[in-house]
Amino acid sequence: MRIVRLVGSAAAAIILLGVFFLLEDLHARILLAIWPQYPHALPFQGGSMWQMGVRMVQLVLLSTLLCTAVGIPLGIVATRPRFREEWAPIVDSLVNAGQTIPSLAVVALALPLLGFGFVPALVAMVLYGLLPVLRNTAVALESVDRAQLDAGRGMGMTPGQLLWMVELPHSIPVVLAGIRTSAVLNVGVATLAGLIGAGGFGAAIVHGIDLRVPPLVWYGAVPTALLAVILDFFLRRLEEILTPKGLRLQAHRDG
Amino acid sequence: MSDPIIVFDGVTKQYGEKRAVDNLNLTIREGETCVLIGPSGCGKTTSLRMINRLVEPSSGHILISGKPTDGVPAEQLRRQIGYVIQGVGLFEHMTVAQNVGIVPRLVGWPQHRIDARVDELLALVGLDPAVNRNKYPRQLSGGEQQRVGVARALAADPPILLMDEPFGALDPITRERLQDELLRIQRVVRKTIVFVTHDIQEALKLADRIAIMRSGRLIQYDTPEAILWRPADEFVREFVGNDRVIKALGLIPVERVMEPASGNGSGRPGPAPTVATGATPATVPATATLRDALSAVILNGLADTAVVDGEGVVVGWIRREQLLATLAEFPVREVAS
Amino acid sequence: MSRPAGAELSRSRLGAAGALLVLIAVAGLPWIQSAPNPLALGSKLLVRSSSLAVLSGGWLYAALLAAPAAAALIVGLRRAGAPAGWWLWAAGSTGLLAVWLSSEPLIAAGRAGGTLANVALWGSGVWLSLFGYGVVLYAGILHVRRAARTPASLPLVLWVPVLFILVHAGWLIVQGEPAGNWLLRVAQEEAQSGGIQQRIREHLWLSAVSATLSIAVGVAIGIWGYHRERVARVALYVSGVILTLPSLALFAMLMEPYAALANAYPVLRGYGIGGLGAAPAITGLTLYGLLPVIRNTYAGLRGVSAAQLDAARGMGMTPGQIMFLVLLPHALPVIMAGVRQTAILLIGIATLAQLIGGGGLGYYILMGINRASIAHILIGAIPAVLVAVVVDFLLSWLGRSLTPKGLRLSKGVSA
Repeated sequence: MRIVRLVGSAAAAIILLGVFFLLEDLHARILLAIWPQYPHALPFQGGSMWQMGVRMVQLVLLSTLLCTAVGIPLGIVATRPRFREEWAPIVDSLVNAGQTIPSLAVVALALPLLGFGFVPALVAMVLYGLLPVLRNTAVALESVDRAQLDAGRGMGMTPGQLLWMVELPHSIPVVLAGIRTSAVLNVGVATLAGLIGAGGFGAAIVHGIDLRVPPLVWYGAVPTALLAVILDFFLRRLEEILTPKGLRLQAHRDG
Repeated sequence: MSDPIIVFDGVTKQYGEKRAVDNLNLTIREGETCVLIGPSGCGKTTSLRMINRLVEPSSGHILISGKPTDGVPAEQLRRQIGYVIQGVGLFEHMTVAQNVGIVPRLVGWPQHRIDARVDELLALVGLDPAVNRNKYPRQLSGGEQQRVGVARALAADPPILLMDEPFGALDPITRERLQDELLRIQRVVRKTIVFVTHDIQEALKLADRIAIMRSGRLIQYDTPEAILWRPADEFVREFVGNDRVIKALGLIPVERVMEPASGNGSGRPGPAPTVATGATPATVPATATLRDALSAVILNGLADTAVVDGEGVVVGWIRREQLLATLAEFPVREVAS
Repeated sequence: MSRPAGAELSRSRLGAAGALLVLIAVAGLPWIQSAPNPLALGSKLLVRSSSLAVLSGGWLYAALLAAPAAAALIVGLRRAGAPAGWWLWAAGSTGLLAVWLSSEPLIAAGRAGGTLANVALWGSGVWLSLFGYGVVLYAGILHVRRAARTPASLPLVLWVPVLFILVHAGWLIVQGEPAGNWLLRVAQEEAQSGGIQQRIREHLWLSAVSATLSIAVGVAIGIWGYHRERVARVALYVSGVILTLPSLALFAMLMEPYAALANAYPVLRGYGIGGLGAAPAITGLTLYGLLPVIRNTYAGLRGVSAAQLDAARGMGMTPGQIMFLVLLPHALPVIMAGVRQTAILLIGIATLAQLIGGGGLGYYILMGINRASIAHILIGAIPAVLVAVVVDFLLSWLGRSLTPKGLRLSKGVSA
């Protein structure tokens, strides 16, 4: 049942976006109707809306997967008793400090270090998006009710079983929220990545600003905003669907 | 008999279909402690909160000192009525002194007068002002917090005090102590107290008159003795409990039944006590009730029992005959209703 | 942490790990990268990377720089507690200072020792060894603080090496002679021309104005939402959605309304309101800053216990008095936390203001992108991070001192 809802939500999001990106002509017409004084603004030389859209989705999807794949294990390791005392504070400090680094700086640094294009942008996005996932994983694992852990240990669970059967299920809502935060932030970073040649809508936006051509600006900005909102919405649905039912009841009772 | 100070005149509170309070007519006299009691949902708390208009009646009036309560703005009314609740509700971000002084401050007293009043009240409720003035609520125990709550309610010297299950969240020992303190304070300040509880023992101990409510209606409004001796109906009889006669013993001070000791403090002991060898005879404190006395007399094998004061000096004797005679009167009292 | 205070930690794996990083860096990673000119840095062909050994002609220098790391490695693996902490701290400090202070002469050597090399940069080796020594230092501080009998004032003293480097860098920037260090040279130019000061001023101004607006509007909406549930729900939802919008997109979309406004009323241009410039940036920033403030105000007000509210009503406080004497003081710590979040958020996003002509430190970051110059990017990014850290520190101090003393105590504590 859950799988069905999951797939349904994903399909809805994909179809919505896909349709939007494909309706290139319609967008161009609407924008040029609003700003008739810029008849040559569109179509954009840098790529069609479909191309830019797909590139954005690629960047965000891939980076989010990588962030999750790296961030969750790191978060788990940082909260294990063996490592906790030393690594938790440093993870904490790194995350706090990392939050203050502007996303533009991370994207910018990728250029001289790694060059132009898709891969440098991806690296920047993975680094930037790692923080919310890591922090939320660590916080979620730390906040598991001690009484439940005690009961588990008391009934003979190994640390591995405790992790898999108690700690992780408990952490699902918060971890998913972290992944969502990371993904939505990364839509923003992906937009900026247009500055270092990664494709995507950023190039159109910046071009439009440079040339003072509003329709171009909106041509790039609206799909970006839409992508972020739909992604956020979809991931919230995902959170709901994947949260174990017992935890959801708890939230309602306290809420 | 003192003047009526709070009058409920045909007061009803309706929530949709349900009547939380149904045509309540009640007169509370000045200086009285009136306890509202009943099962959950009987309307006692709602009635209390209508006095200071935290709840507005659907119909009927409440008069305080002859004037309807909706004649003045609600806030003005409330500043003249003390209000103590179960959760205490001390303001955590203020010191004890600031908490107690809040209503005088709202009303506009000069600071020196407030300070003096705070110290006076803290002493009245049994807290050393010097130690406690500058503490914060989180540093106090539950019992101490509620004492401050009472002090806060009395700060502006209101004639009326409303108390909504104030001791309900405390442990039994602290509760009993605070009940005694309240009786003591009442002897000093002589306020009109309207007190809500679900504990019949508490009601019997504290009340001048008890109002038993059920499903929004007033079932019986009488002195504790009357309620125990002449319950109005089966519901009240059940509510006060099957041991109501024993409870009634708790209302009779031991002095009324004891034979005072003669001048030299000894008096005639009477027949030798048939207590277990080696055990010291149980005594009864002079401040106790007949109920406690009965317990001691039984322990002494129904022999005469000494009544002692705080220093252990014998001030009187409970004679077995006198005790039996008193108990024998009870059915007569009951029938004589 | 569940460890009892004063208990010492077992072996420092962290310290050992940091030391290992340094050893790797010193052993083989590129130390200096040089190129004929800045643009050539982008090209793999023209860049010459020299490892430490090559640069200094032999392993002596490398050994010296690595020595503290080796010590740290041994200490980290074998010993524990306060003594180990001090060793780690000492090793980390010496290592940091050694790498920092040796970078200039090595750069000079790098220039001299090769073909045309007008630009020289730190290679990954320097970065990694700085990071590694930083980790060692941090591990040392952790151990020292955890050990028993450390006075509370100690921690600040322990950070002295880092402070020294910052101060030294600052000194090099402001002194007359051109700094040899590549990063500092650019910083120096900008500082002396007044550029960086101006950008910092702009950045602070953008952040401060928008943060103030966010806080004023956000607290008001939070209070309103406290009284009307539906308003709270809508406000939280809308401000949440706003926060998901990518910053560049939002800023860009805000440009047009302001441009149209300025075209209709040209007088506004005199006040700096137009399509390009600070106005859309400040609007966008203000919108972003709303959610933390609204959410925290609402939650803080709702968190006041029902008993306190009932008592307040029952004693005759007016709704206004209840708000100012009971609700707001109680909610203040939570609101301040929201204010902090907003401030940090806005300082970060303000870097994008330059993209729409708003100024700020983003200016240097963009210049860095255009010229492929790491130095410029860092001159934009590092001050932004420093400003954020300082502001965070100040605001958390402010939050603590504004919290009523009664609330700072945890329940059941006797003073």
